[in-house]
Amino acid sequence: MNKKKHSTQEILATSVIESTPDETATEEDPTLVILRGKLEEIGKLEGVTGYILRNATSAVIDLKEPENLVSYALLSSQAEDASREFSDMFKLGEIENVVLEGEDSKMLCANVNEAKISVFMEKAADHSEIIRRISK
Amino acid sequence: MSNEVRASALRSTLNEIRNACPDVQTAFIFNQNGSVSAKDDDTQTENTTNAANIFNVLAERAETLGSLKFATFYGAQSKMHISQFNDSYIATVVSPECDEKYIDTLTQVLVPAVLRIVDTIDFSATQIQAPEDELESPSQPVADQEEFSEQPTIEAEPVEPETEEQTSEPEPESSFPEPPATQFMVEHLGGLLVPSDTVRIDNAVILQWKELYGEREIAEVDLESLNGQTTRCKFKPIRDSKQEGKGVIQMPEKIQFTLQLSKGELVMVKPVIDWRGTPT
Repeated sequence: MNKKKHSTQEILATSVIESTPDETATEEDPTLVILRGKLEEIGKLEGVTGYILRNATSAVIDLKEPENLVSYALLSSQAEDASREFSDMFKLGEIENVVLEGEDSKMLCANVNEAKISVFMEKAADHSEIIRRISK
Repeated sequence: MSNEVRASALRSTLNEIRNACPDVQTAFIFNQNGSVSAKDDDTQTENTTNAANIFNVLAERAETLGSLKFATFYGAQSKMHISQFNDSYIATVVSPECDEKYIDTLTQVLVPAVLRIVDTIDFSATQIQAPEDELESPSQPVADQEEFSEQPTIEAEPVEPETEEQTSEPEPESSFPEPPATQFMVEHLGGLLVPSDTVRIDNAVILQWKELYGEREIAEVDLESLNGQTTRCKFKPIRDSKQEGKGVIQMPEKIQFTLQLSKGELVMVKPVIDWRGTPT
């Protein structure tokens, strides 16, 4: 029972940010701080519509369309599950990035250490450049 | 036959893609309903079925991006690329250093092109055979009748009874239907005692020709490949009973070379009717 409560508290610690990312959620994790800095720059690139950065305990979310938060979060999670399954089936090795491209927009998922990044962008945006910026 | 030919053509195409580009480790095609329509020979069916189901769940979730067109999973050892065409997805697993554009060209151009060709040929074959069906006796094998019942058919013009004036100068073959063209998939025929000028054809098809043309002698067939190469050669029934009814033609290397064909490709076969001595 206690464990369940603890889990609920973790989820509540997740912060939703529309314009200015919340700093309190990440101040104790240097990896997240560095990544958030990179993502803030990436967010300024043309065609990028937002990002979700999360680790096991917290998350930073910056979306131009916050109403899509739930569907984006679920999609990121589903992409992560699918990539794990595909990796096992077809011996892809550790999944570094996933790109999903729809008719209207696309999503890039990247794993950096324990952090998971999802960047949402317009179809014409250059996801290779974003991968390069995240991994440099 | 249509689905079998489609699946077989797609499987051959996927195998050829792997042959052409050894960096391609796996290739398969699946539908949006989760069924796998073709895969290369080395990939496990279980994996492709599971992957299709997993991807379709992901595609549903990805509706927020619009209809999912492409997905790429970049692994440390290999990457998996899935792209949509028509109502299907083609998935390839390739090594990381593989040229993506080259693979895209192979998969996104070749596979849809093969599908278009198969569909076109299948429809053409149906058109050719439709009038013949109407002339066939009720003793036509049930399997063949079912085969064409699902195909779109073009109605043959009604055959009017011939009057004496109309048949004042009859053509010898006027009382017989036009020789039907049948589509077969090429199987290699080799061996020391194999004549290089003779193909082997399904016995059921040969019997069908005999039913149509009775006493007329049919000693040769005309072969035409998809790229328009033609040749005439002798034929015999297929010896191997396992190969019967599979829509294959066993072809010696020399004829394959003449037609610029290889195993797995399609060829149209027409009987050559000897009209000499046709009663008037």
